Amino acid sequence: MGLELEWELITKTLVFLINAIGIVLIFLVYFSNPRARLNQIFVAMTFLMFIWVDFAFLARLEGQAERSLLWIRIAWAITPLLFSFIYFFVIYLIRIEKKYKLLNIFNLFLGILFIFITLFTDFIIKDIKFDTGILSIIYGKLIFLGFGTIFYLTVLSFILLLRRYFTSSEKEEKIKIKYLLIGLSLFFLMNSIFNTALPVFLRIVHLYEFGDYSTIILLSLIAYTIVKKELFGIKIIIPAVLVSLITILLGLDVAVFTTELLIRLYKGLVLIIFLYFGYLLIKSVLKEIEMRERIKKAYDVEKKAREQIEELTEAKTQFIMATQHHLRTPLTSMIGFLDLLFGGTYGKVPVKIKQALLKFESSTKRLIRVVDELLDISQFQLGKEVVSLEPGTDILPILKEVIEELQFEVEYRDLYLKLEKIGKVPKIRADSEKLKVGLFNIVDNAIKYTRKGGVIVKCQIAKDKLQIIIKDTGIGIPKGEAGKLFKEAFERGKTAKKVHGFGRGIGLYITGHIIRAHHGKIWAESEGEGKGSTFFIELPI
Amino acid sequence: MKKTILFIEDDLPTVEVYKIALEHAGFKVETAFSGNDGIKKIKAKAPDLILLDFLLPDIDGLEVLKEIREQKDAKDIPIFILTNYTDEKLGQKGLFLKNEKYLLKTKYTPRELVEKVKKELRLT
Repeated sequence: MGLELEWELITKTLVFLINAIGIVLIFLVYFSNPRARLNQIFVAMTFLMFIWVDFAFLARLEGQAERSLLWIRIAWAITPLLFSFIYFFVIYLIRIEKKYKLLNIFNLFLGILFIFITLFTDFIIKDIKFDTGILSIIYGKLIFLGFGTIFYLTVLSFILLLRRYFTSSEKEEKIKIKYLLIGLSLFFLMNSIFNTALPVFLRIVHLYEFGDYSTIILLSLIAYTIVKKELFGIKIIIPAVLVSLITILLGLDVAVFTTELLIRLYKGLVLIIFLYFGYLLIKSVLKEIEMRERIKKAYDVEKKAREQIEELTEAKTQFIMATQHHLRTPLTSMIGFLDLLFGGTYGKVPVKIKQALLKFESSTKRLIRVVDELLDISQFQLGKEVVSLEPGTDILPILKEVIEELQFEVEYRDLYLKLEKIGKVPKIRADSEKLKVGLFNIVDNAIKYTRKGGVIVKCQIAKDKLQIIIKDTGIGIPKGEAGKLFKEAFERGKTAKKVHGFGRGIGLYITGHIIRAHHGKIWAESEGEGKGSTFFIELPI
Repeated sequence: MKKTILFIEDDLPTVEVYKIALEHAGFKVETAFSGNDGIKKIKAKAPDLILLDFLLPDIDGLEVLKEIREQKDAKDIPIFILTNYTDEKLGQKGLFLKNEKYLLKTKYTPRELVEKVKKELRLT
């Protein structure tokens, strides 16, 4: 008796599990894409499994023989059709549904044909009997046709799957097919043993049900494939799987293992509460996934924009390089011919012409400097390393060169330009070429804005820094403008605009960049307009 | 025997200014206005020194450089890369090869260049 009760529990549990897993899968698959043919076929396939398993189960529970026969016939009637649908599931899964159209119609027709034969004739199921409580089927004359059809459909599905498995180069698809092959073969093997071989040939009928229950293997493997490999394109969220599993277990407890009504009600209530919280959990997880996808999308957009900017920057660099070449090429030959003239290649140059040529040279050099500066600005704006610092750079020769180059202009304007060295000047890390440009700009600027007096350049150590001070007796800087001098590009005071309409505001801007690239500081001080200005440059030692 | 300098450069005034300076200093100057032209001339007769521009109408200076270095007769000829580019990397690209020097055109006057050439060919 105890054994019988256990047996009943096992069969009940299995039937419940098949239904529960099936229902979860139907919901999952159908609602992931209701219009996809593969998903529809899966739903139909699972429904047919329900009919088969549930009606066979009912038939065994049923005490009345006549009704039991009807349930068994229904279960048997749809079985070939179930295998037709398994075939359809396979061909849609591996996308060969359009290849064998006639075969498809024939296979569907076979399944439907057996419904009628089984339900309305006794060619398949002749009768049933209960042998000491165990249901036993008396088969009809054409039962072998039924088995044959099932066998044929299974083998066909198998061959198609196997062929795809060996020809497919997609790793993911191969894995999916592998799982399905395992599920199908176990399902078919157990069916052949318990539903065919044992009862038909050996007359062992009490294990018959195991054949029906092997559907759980196929369903579980399909479920597993969905979870692991996104079969049907379903992205499974782990919390949803857990909630489903716990729901199935709780449901199993309520439906199968609980017999007392009150406890059943209580457990049912727990199940409902659990379902509600599970629903909330899944909803929040879904929301989070959506957020994550949105973030990813935003990131992708940003990434694309950045790539475009990089492309533009690259184009800009190319443009600058080309400009650099085009501007410098004629300047090179200009300065080159001047050099030839001065070198006497064309004979001795009269003093008067030589003086004119010197001015020509000075202007050409200035133009070269402007071109260099413009290019440097572009490079700075591109964030490129324009400055390469060399240790052991002596600043005094640089300052001397600057003063020498400006001497001509200073004399012309009747100003003075002096260099004052205070104490020992240490060597620093610097890019002598760029630093010269920077210092030149400041001194040049001081001369430009001085009409009387002159400029003194001082070089000293202050607070462990090398300090260069350029003090002029020029127009000065209006209060409040001195601080802005090295921040904004090309910004100039009002008086400066009047004095030099098209002055070189660019110079200070580029100098600021150069000094900062030397990890130094630059600023200007002035008592106000008309009171001269002092420029400070501090460089680390 | 006059030393021969091959100048591969497409800008006519530039060619002229250096040519005059070099000829004035006693060199024989051959000119090529494109990379391929330059390579052809090197194959015909290897010069004593090559002045090479980087931006050329057909193939760029770097390719010319590689081509020269692959030739048996020409691979040891000193090369001065004369360019208007200040791109450091380009200079390094040139320098990783062998005995070539990277000179910025605007930094050297023709007479200074002549001195450099003389020094390279050990004529001073």
